[in-house]
Amino acid sequence: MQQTFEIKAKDAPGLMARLETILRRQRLPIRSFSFEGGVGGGPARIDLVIEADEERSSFVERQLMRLMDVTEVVRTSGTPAFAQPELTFEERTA
Amino acid sequence: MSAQAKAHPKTRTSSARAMAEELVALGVTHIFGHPGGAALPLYDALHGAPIRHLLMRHEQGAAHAAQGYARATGRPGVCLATSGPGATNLVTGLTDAMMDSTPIVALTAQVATSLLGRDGFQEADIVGMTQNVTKHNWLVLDPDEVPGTIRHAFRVAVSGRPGPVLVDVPRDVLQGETSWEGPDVEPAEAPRRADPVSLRRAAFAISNARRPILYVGGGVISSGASAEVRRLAYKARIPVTTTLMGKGAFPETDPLSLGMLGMHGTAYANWAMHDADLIIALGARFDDRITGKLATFAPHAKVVHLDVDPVEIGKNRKADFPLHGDAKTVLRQLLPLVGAPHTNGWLEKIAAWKAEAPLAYEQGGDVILPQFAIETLWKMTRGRRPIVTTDVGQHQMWAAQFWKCDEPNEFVTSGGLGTMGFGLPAAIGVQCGMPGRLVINLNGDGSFQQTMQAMATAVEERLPIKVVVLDNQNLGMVRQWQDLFYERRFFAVELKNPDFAKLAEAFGAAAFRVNRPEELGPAYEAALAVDDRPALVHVRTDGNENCYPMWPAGQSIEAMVVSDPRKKKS
Repeated sequence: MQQTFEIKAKDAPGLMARLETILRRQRLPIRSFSFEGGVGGGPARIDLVIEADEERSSFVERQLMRLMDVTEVVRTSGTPAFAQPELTFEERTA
Repeated sequence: MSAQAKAHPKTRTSSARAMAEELVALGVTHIFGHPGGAALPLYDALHGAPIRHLLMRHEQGAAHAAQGYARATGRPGVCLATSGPGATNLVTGLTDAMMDSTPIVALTAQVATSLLGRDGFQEADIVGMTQNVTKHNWLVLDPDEVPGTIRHAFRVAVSGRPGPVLVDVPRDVLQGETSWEGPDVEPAEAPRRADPVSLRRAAFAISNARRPILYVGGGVISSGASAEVRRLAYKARIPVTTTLMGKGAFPETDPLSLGMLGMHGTAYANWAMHDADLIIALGARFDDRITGKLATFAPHAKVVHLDVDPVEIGKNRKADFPLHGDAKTVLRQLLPLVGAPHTNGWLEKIAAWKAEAPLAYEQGGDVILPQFAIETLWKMTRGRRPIVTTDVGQHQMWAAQFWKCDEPNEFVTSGGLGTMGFGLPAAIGVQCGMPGRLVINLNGDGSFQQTMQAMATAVEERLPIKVVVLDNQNLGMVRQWQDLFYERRFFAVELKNPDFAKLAEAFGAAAFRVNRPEELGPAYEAALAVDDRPALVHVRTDGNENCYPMWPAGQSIEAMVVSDPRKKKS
C-alpha cells in the first residue's frame, strides 16, 4: 500500500539524512520524494510516498515526529497514524 | 532573557570562552575528555574554569564516564574530544547512551572551516557519522551561535526521552569572536501528562485484572518514578519484575519483587509474564532479550504500555492501553484511579514458583564460583548502599541476578548495546558525580581489557573505586553459547591474561589477588579500606561455569533452561 506524508521541518543540514535513515532501517522503499527548501528562514516542505502497511506507516510517522527539526507530519493517505484507541473512544453519560 | 543574563554586560569574547562559561552556568562540574589540536582553543578556555577535567586515556572511556555520571546523578554527563579519531572514538559511547536513553553532551572540535570537506588532517564528518546515534547533533559554523547551541543541546539531552547529543565546532569558530550576553537558561520542557480517558481505561484494566504484573524498565528510573511504582505495587498488590535497566526501580528484596526477567532473568519472573493476564509496562520496550519469540510471548496478556516516547508504544508488542507521557507524572495521575485487584491466588502461585526455582548455586571446593564472589561482596557492602557498575558478559548477568538493588540509580550497566569496556570508565563517572558514595565496578577479564587504561585516570584523580575482575580466563558468555549451541567447539574465547593485580599496581592502584573462596572476604575488606586511590581485586573463577536460567534467543519460554543440566546429572 502506498502512503503519502507531508512533512514540514526546519530547513537544517542533516534533515534529509535523518529521514532517509528512518526509512532505510525499516527497509521501506521510497516511491516518490519532493523537497522544497524553506524561503527566508521558513520551513522546508517534503512530500514523501512510501510503500508500507498501516502499522509500519504509523510507526514511521511517530519516528518522523521524533526528529528535532520536524514540526509537522500529515499523512494524506490511509487512516491516520498513531491511532490511539482513546481518540475514537466515545464517552456517553446515562 | 533571564535575570542571570541581565547581570552580564554584552561583551566580545571568543566563542570557546563563551562555551566554557555556558558550561559553568549550566551546572557542569566535570568534563571527561582528551585534548588534541583542534580542541585546543576550548581547552585553553577551560583553563582555570571551575570545572574538573578528567584526562581519559581513550575517548570511548570519556563517553562511558559521562554516561556513568549521568546515570548516577540524573544530570547530563559531558565528554570532550578533538577532531577526527578523537571524535570517532566517541561513537560507541554515544550509541550506548542512545540505546540506554542516557543524557550525555558530547563536545567535539572540528578542523577549521576552510578545511571542511577537503580531507584535512584529522577531519572526520562526525556530525554525519553520529546522526543515527544521537537525539540530535549540530555543526556550528557561526561563533555567535555557539553559546545558544550549547544551551539548547543540554535541554534536548534531558527532555522527553533522554539521550545523547553532540555539538561539533570547528577550530576557527572556537577562536572566533562572539557578541555574547552572558549565560542564559532555556526553560525545561513540562513533563507530558496522559489524557484522562486513556488513564481511566488503563486504571479499569488494572483494577479488574486477576494476574497482573508490573514490568518496569529504565524509563522509570530516568523519570524518577520509583516511588510511584512502589505505591502502585503496594496499593494494588501487584508483583514487579524489572529489566536490566530498571534494576532498583523497585526493591529487589521486597516479597513482591520477581527480580529481573528475560534471557537470564529468574524463571519465576518469566513464568509470571507468560501466565499474566495484564502486563503493565512502565518505561520498558519489550526488547528481544525480554520477549524471546514475540509470537508466543505472554499469550494471555493485555498490555498497558506507558512510555514518554510514542515510538516505543506498540513497537514490539501491541499496546491495548497506551499511555503516552512521563512515567512519574502519569503514575501520579493513575494512582488515585486504581483499585485493588484480587491477586491473592496469583501471588500464591508466584510464591510456589519462587520456591520451585530460586536463583541458586553451590559453592564447594577450592574453585571460586563467580556468583559466590558477587554475592559475598553484596552481603558485605549492602549496608553502605554502594553504586555498582558492571561490564558486559556473564559477570553482568550474575550481577543482575545476585546483586540485589533496593534503590534506583545504583546499578549502572550497558543494557541495550551491551558494550564491553563500559564498566570501569562508567565507575569513574559515577564516583565523580557521587563523591561520597562507595562505587564498585564488577568486571570480567575480557571486558576489563577493553578499557583498562582508564585505571590511569582513576589513579591520577585518586578515585577510591573498587574494581573486581572476575577472571575465568575466557570470554565467558561467548564460550557459553559455543558450549550450548555450537556443540562445544570452543574457538577464539580463551584468554591468556596478564596478572591483573600486578597491572593495577603498575598503574598505581592498590591490588589484591584471590585464588580460593576463603580469601575473598579478607581481600574485599582490604580493598574496601583503601580510600585514597582505586583498589582492584583479581578473583580467579571457574571457567566452566555457565549462567542460568537461560532462555535461548528468539525461542519460546518452553525452551528456558532453569539450571545447569550437567550439575543435575551429577
